[in-house]
Amino acid sequence: MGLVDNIDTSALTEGAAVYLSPTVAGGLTSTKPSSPNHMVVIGFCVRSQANNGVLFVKVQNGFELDEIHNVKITSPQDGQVLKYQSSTGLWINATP
Amino acid sequence: MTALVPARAHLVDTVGNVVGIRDANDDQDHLFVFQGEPTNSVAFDTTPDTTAPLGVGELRWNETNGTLEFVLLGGNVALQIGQEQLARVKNDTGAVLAKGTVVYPTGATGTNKTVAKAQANAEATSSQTLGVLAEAIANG
Repeated sequence: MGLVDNIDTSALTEGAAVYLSPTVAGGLTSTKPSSPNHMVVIGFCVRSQANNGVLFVKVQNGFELDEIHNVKITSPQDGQVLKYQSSTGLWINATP
Repeated sequence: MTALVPARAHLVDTVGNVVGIRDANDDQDHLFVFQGEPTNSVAFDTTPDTTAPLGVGELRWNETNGTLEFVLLGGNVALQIGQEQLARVKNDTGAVLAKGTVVYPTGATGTNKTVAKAQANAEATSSQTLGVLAEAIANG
């Protein structure tokens, strides 16, 4: 966490959030990825510049739906929805 | 600390005990503090001469960032104390990982985490994204 300087941030938008690139391994993008790609916030661009770019790094990995504490998904199938189960306090997958 | 130079200025604490010496310029670029003499605090020059780069293991005030910075092993990365959190990692990908590359942990070798390039197109390469390399890392 913190500043990484003297890197190429010329393709990034200064002052905007920076995400892990879905197309370039190890790369950065200012375009917010959408599913099925994963939205991983890397931080934000402090200075957009080819040689002296500055990035503030604060990684925030996203969650899969079944990683949320009160959600339990077992063998999901097409057409299923989340249904609240009061006995366990969980949202579970079920066929409507 | 056995070869003291009389011309160098002594540093004394509030009750007159000699606790260290400054170099011949009487500045704080080279401050020697005696072992076994506790002190309440260590003051750094907040307008230091920055013409000479810091070496590995050296500490100096960084006016730009408003904190002390400390040069880590390898000499390429200066840790801004209180503003950064770094992890030492190892590259076993078979190729150089460039500075600025986003990486995720792939395992460990000895006491070092191993890393590879992260990518947001798969769970395996993105869900544990660790950070951005502060220096290039050669393979091995």
